[in-house]
Amino acid sequence: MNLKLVVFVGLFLNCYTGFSQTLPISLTADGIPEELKKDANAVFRLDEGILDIASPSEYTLSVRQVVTLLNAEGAHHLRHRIGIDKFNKVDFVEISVYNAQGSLVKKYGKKDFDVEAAFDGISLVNDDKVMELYTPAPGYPCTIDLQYKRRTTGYIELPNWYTNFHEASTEVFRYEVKVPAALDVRHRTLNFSISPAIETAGNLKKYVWEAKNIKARRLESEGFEPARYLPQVEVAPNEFSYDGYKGSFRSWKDFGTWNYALYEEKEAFSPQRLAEIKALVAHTQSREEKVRILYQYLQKNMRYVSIQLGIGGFKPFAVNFVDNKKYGDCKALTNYMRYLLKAVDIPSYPALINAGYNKIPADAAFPSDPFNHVILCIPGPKDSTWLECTSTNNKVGELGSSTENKKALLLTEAGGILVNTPRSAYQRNAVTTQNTVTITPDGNASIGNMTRSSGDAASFFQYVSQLSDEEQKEMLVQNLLFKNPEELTVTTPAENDDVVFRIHRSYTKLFQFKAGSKFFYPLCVNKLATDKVKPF
Amino acid sequence: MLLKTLSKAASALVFLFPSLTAQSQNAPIDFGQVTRDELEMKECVFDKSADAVVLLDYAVAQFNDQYNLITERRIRLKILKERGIERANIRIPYYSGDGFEFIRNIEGVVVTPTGNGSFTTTPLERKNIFTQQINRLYSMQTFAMPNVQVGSIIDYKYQSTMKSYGGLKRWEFQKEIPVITSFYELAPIPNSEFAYSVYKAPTLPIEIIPNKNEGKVKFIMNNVPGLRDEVYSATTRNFLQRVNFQFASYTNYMGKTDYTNTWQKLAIELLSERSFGSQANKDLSGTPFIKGLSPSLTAVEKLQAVHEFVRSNITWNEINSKYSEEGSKSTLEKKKGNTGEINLLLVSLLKSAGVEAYPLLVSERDFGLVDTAYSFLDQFNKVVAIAYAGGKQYVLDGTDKSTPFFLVPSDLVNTTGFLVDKKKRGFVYFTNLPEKQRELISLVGAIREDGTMQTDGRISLSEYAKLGKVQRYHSEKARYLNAIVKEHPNLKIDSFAVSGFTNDSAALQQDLKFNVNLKKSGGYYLLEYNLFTGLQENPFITQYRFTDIDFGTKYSLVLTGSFSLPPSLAVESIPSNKKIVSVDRSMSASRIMEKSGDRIQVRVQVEINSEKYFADEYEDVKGFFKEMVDLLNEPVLLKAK
Repeated sequence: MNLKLVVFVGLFLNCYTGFSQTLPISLTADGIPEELKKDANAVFRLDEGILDIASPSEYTLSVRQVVTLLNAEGAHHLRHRIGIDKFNKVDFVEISVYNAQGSLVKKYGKKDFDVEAAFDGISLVNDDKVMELYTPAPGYPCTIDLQYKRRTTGYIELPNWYTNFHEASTEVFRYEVKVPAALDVRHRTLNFSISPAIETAGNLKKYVWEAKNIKARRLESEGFEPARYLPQVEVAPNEFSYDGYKGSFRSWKDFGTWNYALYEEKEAFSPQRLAEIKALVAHTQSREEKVRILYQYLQKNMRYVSIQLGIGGFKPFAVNFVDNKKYGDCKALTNYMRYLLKAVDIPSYPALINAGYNKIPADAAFPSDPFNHVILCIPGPKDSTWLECTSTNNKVGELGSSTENKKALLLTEAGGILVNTPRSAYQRNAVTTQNTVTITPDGNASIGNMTRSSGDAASFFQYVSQLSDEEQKEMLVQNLLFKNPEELTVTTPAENDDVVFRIHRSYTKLFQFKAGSKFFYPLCVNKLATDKVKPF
Repeated sequence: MLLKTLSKAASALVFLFPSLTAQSQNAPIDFGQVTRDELEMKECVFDKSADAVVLLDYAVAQFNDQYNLITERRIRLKILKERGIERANIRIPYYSGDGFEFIRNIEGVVVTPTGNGSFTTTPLERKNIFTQQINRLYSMQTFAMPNVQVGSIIDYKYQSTMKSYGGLKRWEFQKEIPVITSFYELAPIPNSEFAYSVYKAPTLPIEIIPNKNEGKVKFIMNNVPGLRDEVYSATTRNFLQRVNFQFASYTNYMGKTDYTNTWQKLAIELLSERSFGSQANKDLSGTPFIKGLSPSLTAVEKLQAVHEFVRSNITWNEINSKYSEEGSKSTLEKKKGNTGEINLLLVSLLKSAGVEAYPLLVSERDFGLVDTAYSFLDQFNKVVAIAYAGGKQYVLDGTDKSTPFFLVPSDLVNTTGFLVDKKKRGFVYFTNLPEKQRELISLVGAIREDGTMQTDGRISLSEYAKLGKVQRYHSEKARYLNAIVKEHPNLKIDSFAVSGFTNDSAALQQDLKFNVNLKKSGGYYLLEYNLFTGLQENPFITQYRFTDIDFGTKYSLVLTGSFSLPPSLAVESIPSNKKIVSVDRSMSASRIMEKSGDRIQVRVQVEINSEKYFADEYEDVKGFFKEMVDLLNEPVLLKAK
């Protein structure tokens, strides 16, 4: 599913850090103003990043974060994770641990870190790695001084600088960006009203954002991802070069142009394959029908496999590769589908999107690269049709909760165009169940159930239908909150649009208890959900 | 039914076999070829709901002239359902640290039926095979097999070369998905003997074919069903059909050296090893920490101080080991190491402080059971410290930040350890421990006329109940509350406090005030008191059970409730006093309830006095849990006057 997980894992917990030259930093908890201790488990005495941009492909990020942990609930600040890969190397890292009195207890260097592959849980192959170290606390309070320098030799985006205000406060927040004036950067702040001090010296431009005494807050669950709410400085390049691919990034149009080129192929299919593809839809004139047939062809024949290496995080496998090997990631499958459609003269466009129901939508006003996924858009005379090409069971036009009602960047001949993806009709995301309970005089009961699901809600049932009998039983009892039955059998009659389950349960005792001659039965034999409703 | 009997006591056999020279042997079906039956197969006849089936799991292990261990491995599988397609993404992890193991000559081919008995054949291309380093010890070969659909047959093979026979691992005949034929052949290096032990179900036949002339032995099992994870199981590893190997003897011009290790010999050998005994016995009495220990401390206090020093100062690199390559002194200086390094240092520090202590080889719960009949060192995955002070035994793991010194770490409950010492050597069984998962719940509620109840609740967790929570939530208050709210979304929490993390011997206390709407049914209010027990539903759902039920520790729950009624409500019926006891009497649940004046008092007690039940006791355990849950869920019936 992932376009490219450019994961710098420590983004919110550790951020990128830098070296402060001037500030005297207190290493004890004494003297932290009360207002900064309120609701905080940790206080950043200094949270500083210095970004030194040398060229469209090179920068150095120097980080310094001095954080005082007030209690054990701030212990996650003891786990240090720095993401690295082929284009991002850490030359220097040092962590000093101070006790409550501010005396140095221990110092760690680069050799103390373990380097591990950063598996994203989805990809079969990627080249992301993570440097990891746990530095135990000598007791609480204590202070951790983290400094490192990361050298980057290929980028699309520039690091943003966040405050970690979730149960942590910050005394001094500082982000400094140095850039050749000819290159310059685009910038803005979010959830924050500070403006940078800007200096130009020779052909170098310098921005400094600084803020003091930012209070701790608590981020509730079920909201957008934290980045939506954290005070932050966003910085974006005008020009970039990644893995040898140069691009401009002044507008969404620019970024679309760069991506579009990665998706273009001159002769995707051989004449013979072209003829075979045309033959698949030869019996129909209906454009709709042609799309349906080719989408089903994709779903039946291709499987999703994520392999992300270097530019491969952005450039799809060749169409011919997918055609032969019958697998690909979201980019490859989307582009394959695009060329299938092109073979029968239906134009379509890949669309970059940040999938995930709580991901922040891309912002029309500030072009950047928040995307992690690609889907396909087929423009129509009235409405566009959208295809999720990694799904083996979605219907034509069905997107699902991770991609619907979001901003997507269409990649077209004319560059990038930011558009909205459609919302699903809520009526379609439905589960209806019907239960027939038959009770015998001694309290035995059998329940015949028919559960019909469609849209987003069907995905759970699609999954369950693939499981073995005993696994199915466990999943249904646990997820549909059934009272544990003596027996449970499932049949899944095939229906066109919906997923249908017929579940038969039997109980020797369905009633909850008996009082005198009265049997008390549960008011509900089929609680479908007790989850909190997620806010939109 | 085949599966059910599988769980019955498995048999184990040990044999010795001598070596000669070895030659490789061909696999039964040519690589990339398929039979008509395989093409047409729609399900696995002995495991019908499987999403894929291994047709052949085949390995021939032998040596070259440098006595490297060379294993030719071949796996053929058939995809039966859509969910099984992801099994075509192959990952081969291997031990690449110090160049110990290489994977070479990977080849793969996919045969996909196209209907009418015809099929396509698609080879795996070399350029689509990736090598990834996972960490400094392990790497992985990864590839996606091409052109895979439901019905495809995947055939792949590779060669593993290990530096030595030290890398010899057990062979598992069983997998998560069913296996039709599993074949393993081993040729020991010349002049050596290997011992092996087979663990298998009596219902599943095994063929063991020793070839004296060639000095090899073959193991073959057929039609082995898949084994999946089950609730309350320490690990499925214990139940896999398998064969273990151990180096037994070596003969050279000096004569035959016997390594068929009795446990005694194993202990003596380990004690003389530089990376084991020498480190456990290192004298560290001159180090500042030991010098700084007050001589007036009792043995138990010293033990506690040393344990605390090690676990708060030395960082574990998350690698388990039985050995200290680094050495105790250097580990103390570097303040970092693997389990072997940290715990052998712990032993040496304890001894240097004057506490009686020994290294203890252990097998963590998910690593598998130790079979004491066979002195196979590879049954253990790490070493910890065992110490004796004040007339008591203590098991200490310096890499474990949360277990107090007086508890056996939860990774080790219900397992067996081997104490390594010339005189005192022997097995230590962490079963029948006095410490339990202890939960004490008290509820004091005031019911109002509108059917709401204002309640003061206190959940006190001690011993293993506390440890489990502390390890999971790491003193983060919000996570404790979340865990409670998740179980009971109908409670409206007014306040929540948690205490008792820092004091090892205190209970973890969670105090909450909350409001709850009593359920209504047919004009009655239902007063339910089964709160915070985690026993709202029977966790045993499936009809059959293949692995033993392993709760880890014993369990004790006492729930008391005191509820006052408003004048407008009267008790219609009150659940009877009741006690249920399991067939073997090891589990019981009781409820005592009474009404006095406007107050209803309840006391519920649940005791599970055995940590473990065999799979063939599943029916009884499931039945008891069902009755117990019913007992706990039976409410008091209230009616408006």
